[in-house]
Amino acid sequence: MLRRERGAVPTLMVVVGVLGMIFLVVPIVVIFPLSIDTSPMLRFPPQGFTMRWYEEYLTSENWLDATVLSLRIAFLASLIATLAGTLAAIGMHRSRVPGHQLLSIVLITPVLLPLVVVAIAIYNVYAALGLVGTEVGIALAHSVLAIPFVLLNVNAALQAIPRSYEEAALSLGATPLDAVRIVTVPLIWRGVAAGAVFAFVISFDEVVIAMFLSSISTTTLPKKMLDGIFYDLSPVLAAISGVLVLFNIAFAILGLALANAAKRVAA
Amino acid sequence: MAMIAPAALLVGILFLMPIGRLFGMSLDYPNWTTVHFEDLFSSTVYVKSLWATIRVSGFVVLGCLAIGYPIGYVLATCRPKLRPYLALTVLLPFWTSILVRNFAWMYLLQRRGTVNDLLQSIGLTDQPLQLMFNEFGVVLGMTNALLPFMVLPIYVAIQSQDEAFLEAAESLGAGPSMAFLKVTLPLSLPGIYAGALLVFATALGFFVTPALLGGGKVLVAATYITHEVETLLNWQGAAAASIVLLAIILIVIAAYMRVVSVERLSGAGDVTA
Repeated sequence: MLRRERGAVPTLMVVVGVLGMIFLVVPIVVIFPLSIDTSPMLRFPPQGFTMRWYEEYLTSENWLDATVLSLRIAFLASLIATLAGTLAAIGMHRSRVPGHQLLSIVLITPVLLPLVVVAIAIYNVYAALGLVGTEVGIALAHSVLAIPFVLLNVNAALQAIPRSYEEAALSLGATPLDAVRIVTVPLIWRGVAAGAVFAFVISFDEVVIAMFLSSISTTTLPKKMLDGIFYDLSPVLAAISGVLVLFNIAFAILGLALANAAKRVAA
Repeated sequence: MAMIAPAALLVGILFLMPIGRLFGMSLDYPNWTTVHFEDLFSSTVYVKSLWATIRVSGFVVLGCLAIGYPIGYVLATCRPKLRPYLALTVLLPFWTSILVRNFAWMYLLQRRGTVNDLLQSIGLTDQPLQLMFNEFGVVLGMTNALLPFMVLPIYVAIQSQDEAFLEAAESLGAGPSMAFLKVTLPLSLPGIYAGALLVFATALGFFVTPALLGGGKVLVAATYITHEVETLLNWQGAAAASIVLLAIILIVIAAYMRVVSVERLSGAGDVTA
């Protein structure tokens, strides 16, 4: 839709829309002046330039430990979610089983329900299994939240390749497993990679489940930040936030680029 | 079917089973009594928190609609070359840590923060306003966080409209404003319903924003449940409150499913991801 002349109401829509986009971006952008300001109060104009807060973050063993732990958990969660989600997406794409729509709803539900409820529910089961406060336990819980994003991305990639490709492989004598391995997987890897990237980000940023399931020795970065915001609003938090925003933006752009490429693969 | 097994097992053991266990706990399994629900609804603190949850979520839906519709409109009607860049203003915040965004709002909204400075310097207010640690701050932060969920279905609904309808309206004498109000807006209602229900369902269970921008003064369902567990160790009460919250959210999701078919649900996800 391309319109050259706009009336009063459409013009108002555009003005509010542009202001709305600024509103969306403000909390992300504002982190940067805050993180390099000598005064921790964020008052414009900034009082002076310093890298002290970033230095403090990068030299604090506690913060670095939390960061490394979060990276490890995110890696594991992404790995689990990507494997399970990709297999499920391929399985559901090929099957004409009547129940598979219901199953895809069930697999998506974890992202629709409140994290607090999911967290205390998992806590109860983990308490019985001795998984509370373990790295693997947090990663497993995160993988359940991330599976829907892997499913959606792999699914989009699968829809982009014509069915005839696999059928051709089958008619040339490939077993169904070979057809998936030789034809499907090479064509959908960008979708799989996009899912893996998004799964990583979801786990890395997740705080509510981490809040319930972590122990003192398994405090993730977001959990430690949440504690920091509650108890001592230190300017180090601004520097960490700055690093996180850059990390999030880089990963989001990578994931979005992969997801777009996955949809164009057959074209 | 074997390929689906790992994901089904994960979701079954780490999601369905725990939720089932929570349900049992709320009914005091194996005694099967509704006493925890009765306790819950006789507590004025809980009933107030439930109303606050619905009120805050309602305002968030209105806020998201007022700002999100115009954003969706801009995305759908802008020059196609510009669209990917403008879309980033919606997609990048969506993929940025909610904790970081709320932290930024806390600095912006504090008594001597940027927003108050700005309001005073342009002469709108004489004294700093209380912009957070109240429902206003929570609604503002949640509106900011949930806007992408409103924008995407509305964008899809406007984008997929046939241009011929607008041309027909204009050839019949409607100006651009009238054409918008009589054609574009009514045709985008499905997107509005989908976005509103999605935002409402998600807002009902929000925890981080009420906890941070509410500053302990705004008790909603999620902060109530956390308080029951962490401070009072009242697991059965927390389980009962969780089940009530789940039931309300499932009703909203069911309404959403009626508006949007499963295919469209995964389609909307494509845009998000």
